[in-house]
Amino acid sequence: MVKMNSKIKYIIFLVVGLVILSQSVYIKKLDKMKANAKPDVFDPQVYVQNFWDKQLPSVLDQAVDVNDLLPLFQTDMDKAVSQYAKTLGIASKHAYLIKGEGTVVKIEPSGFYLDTTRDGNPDVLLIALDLFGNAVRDASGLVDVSDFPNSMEFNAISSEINKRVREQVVIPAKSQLQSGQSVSFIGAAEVSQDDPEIDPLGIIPVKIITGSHE
Amino acid sequence: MFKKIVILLSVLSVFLLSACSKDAGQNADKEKQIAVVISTLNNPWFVVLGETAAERARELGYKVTIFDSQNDNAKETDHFENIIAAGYQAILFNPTDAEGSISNVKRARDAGVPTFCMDREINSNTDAVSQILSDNYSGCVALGQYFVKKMDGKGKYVELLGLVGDNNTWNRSRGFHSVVDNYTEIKMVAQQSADFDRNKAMEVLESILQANPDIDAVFCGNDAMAMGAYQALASAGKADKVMVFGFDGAKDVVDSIRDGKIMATGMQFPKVMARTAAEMADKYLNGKTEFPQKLPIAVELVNQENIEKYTAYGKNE
Repeated sequence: MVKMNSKIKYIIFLVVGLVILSQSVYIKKLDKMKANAKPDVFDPQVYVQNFWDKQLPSVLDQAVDVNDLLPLFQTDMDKAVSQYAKTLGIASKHAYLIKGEGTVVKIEPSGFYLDTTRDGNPDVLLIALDLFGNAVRDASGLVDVSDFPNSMEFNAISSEINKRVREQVVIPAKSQLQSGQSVSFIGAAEVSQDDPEIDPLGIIPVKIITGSHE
Repeated sequence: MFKKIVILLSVLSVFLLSACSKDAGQNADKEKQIAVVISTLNNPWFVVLGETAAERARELGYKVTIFDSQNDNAKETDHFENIIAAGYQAILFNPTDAEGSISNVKRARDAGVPTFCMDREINSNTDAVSQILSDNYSGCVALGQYFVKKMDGKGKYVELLGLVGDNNTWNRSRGFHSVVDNYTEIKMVAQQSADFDRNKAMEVLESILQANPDIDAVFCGNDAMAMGAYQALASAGKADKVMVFGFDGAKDVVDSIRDGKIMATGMQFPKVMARTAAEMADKYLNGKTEFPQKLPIAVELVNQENIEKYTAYGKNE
């Protein structure tokens, strides 16, 4: 009788134990969990794909004509800054979204030199080699540093944009452009207010459209 | 019995009211206190940052205390607890760790004490009122371009990184590499952390030089390490052959650029950052609520060609 009682006790403990265990453990399919998991890591490629394909085209019509901007740099820098520049934080260097048309006067590894004023001299360098910095990101006015918990993510966007420029704009242009050809372009440049380097003005191209041979 | 209870409650009320008014009186005394918490005062650059913030806050009418975290997140936590308990009105903060310092800022925020970060970032855009930061990435893009020019597109170099838990370390390194890595004939033969520390940089480079005696340049994530690297090169008799690049704009490096010993640095503006933080805190305490969560301050390239425009920690006035 005593033995019987202790057996019943063990069975009761076992049942209670199993009930508790079954209530505390949840089993779900791994692929479902993975599908529901939010991505923790910022992916600059994904961000820039959306930026490049959807956001950037919507602001390109705001670009200032290079033949309006270049003279302004020389005559009224403050006006150039206040009317056309985008500035990241406190800086004397400003970013501009610029458009223009010109004739290719020289092609070098550094890029394509364009005459936009029809005087035979290069006014613009569409950069092909030194694709660095934040010109496109900042000139677009679409990316706010305050939206990013970590500034490394904000800066990774620039690297990724510059990579796109190289692959999708510069490499195709290299195989198409020739001296004497007419070209229209949209791009971005960073220009220092105190020490502007504008002879020629280096522009990171985001769009190059080739025209006829002149 | 009822009378006794009424008397007891009255005495208790008077006691509580007097305690409240005493507390309010204490707060009134402490109304104009600002804490300046600095990651380390072992580096002259941070001393300038902390002292400028304190000076500007004093000019704005606050009593100021500077706390040194000695690059120790636990010490920083103690400082925050003491600051909150002591009833400071605001914190001007240079964090020890981008991740580890978030909880301290959060604790202060929950206690109603606003924090304004200076120079170093925390990985959050909801806890500090504002973060005034150097644009390290862009600064090192410019430094990288100058580096490539001085290397003439080829050669071997060493990179000394700062504290690996600090975002400035990686923003500087990545800005530099976004340029230099495009030049296939420029090879990095070693990359090692020296924790932003001058002595450690000297030791680390001495050890690297044994395996790589033929380097052409050293890129350092701050000026203290640049000075340590220069010392190691001088001891090895290579100071004239190996170019050293720093980042900060500290006095000894600005002087060394002028003397032709160091090639270049990225000038941060610690005084601008510190003054901006103190002024923001004052505006916040006077009712302003809208501030940019992150405010980058541009970094400028200082080299042997333009050194005359600059002085330690800023531009010539």
